[in-house]
Amino acid sequence: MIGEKVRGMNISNIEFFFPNLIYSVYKITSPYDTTYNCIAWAAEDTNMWWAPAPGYYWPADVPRINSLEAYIAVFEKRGYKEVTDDALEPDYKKVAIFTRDGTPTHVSLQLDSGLWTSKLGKSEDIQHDLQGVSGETYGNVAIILKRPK
Amino acid sequence: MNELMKQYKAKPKYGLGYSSLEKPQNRREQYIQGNTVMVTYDDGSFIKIEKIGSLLPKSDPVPLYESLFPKNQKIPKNNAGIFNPLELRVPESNPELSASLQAACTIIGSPIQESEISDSLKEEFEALVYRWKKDTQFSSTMIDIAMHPAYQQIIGMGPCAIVLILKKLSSELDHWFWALNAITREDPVPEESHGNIKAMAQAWLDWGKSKGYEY
Repeated sequence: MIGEKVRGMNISNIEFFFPNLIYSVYKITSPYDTTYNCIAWAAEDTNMWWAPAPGYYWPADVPRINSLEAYIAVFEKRGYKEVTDDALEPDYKKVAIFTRDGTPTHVSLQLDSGLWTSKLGKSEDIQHDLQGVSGETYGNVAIILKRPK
Repeated sequence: MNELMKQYKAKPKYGLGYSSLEKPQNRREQYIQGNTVMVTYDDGSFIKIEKIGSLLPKSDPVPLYESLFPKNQKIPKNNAGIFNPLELRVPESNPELSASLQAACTIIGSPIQESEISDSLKEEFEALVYRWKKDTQFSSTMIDIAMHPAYQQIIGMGPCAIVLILKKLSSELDHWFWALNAITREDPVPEESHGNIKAMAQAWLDWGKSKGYEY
């Protein structure tokens, strides 16, 4: 079936949407999976699709608005605070929220190695340099937050 | 008369398929028989809605039919060229009747099964699905996913898309919930399952079975 071709995700397809990955270190770390998204993955939940839209999981007491402020509130409720530096700090977890035209599009989580991990929408998880997923698809990092491990 | 129309001649239902390239049709005549309204058009196509009479005032239903199917007016169709009962005109002076009639029109008749849908419409559906999946594969936000033009066109197919979507959902989990909700105006997903894609899919598949869809 024509629709099934999309499932055959491959490196060239990812690099087409995220050309900055071509010039960075990255690898695919999971299969295609439509059951969780980037914000859930950054919140270490692989069972739910988090979204402020009706019908999806969204933390209680956080406004169901697709805004940077709402995304920040999600992580503040989990103990994160805004920082200016994306460098590795061994005692802290860090997340990076991306925006495109001011609207949140993506969240990445920093790994112990200093690399970052991202769930690419409905597709795979990858490990990457932070700037590897910046560009036309997700825009750029708008804010970094951290919390003690 | 196109192939789909011949199918419906043999087994009339609502949810008729028309080519969007067809010339506008004018209503030719209508029949009111018991609880059934039948409207034929000058190209030989027709609409039949069963049990509709039971929803209408028995005293003088003819003026209401006249307002539903005005003379010299095109068949109400959605963007995919499918007859859409939700677009039937009903008197604005009677909003209660309007609401109940529109709601009833979505459930009148048995479900449109895959075997009743033309190959061309199935191909169009598959092409839209492919485009939607390709363009939204890396999207996390529901605005990007559900507002994609191809997804909106699938919603625009109306009741014909339901069985095709359920079939897709039964073989591969994906975000079809907004489309199903928009077309059927139902939401079988309990609040505790919101965000649990497997449970959400199962709730809709169970709904489909309860309504008699076969896929």
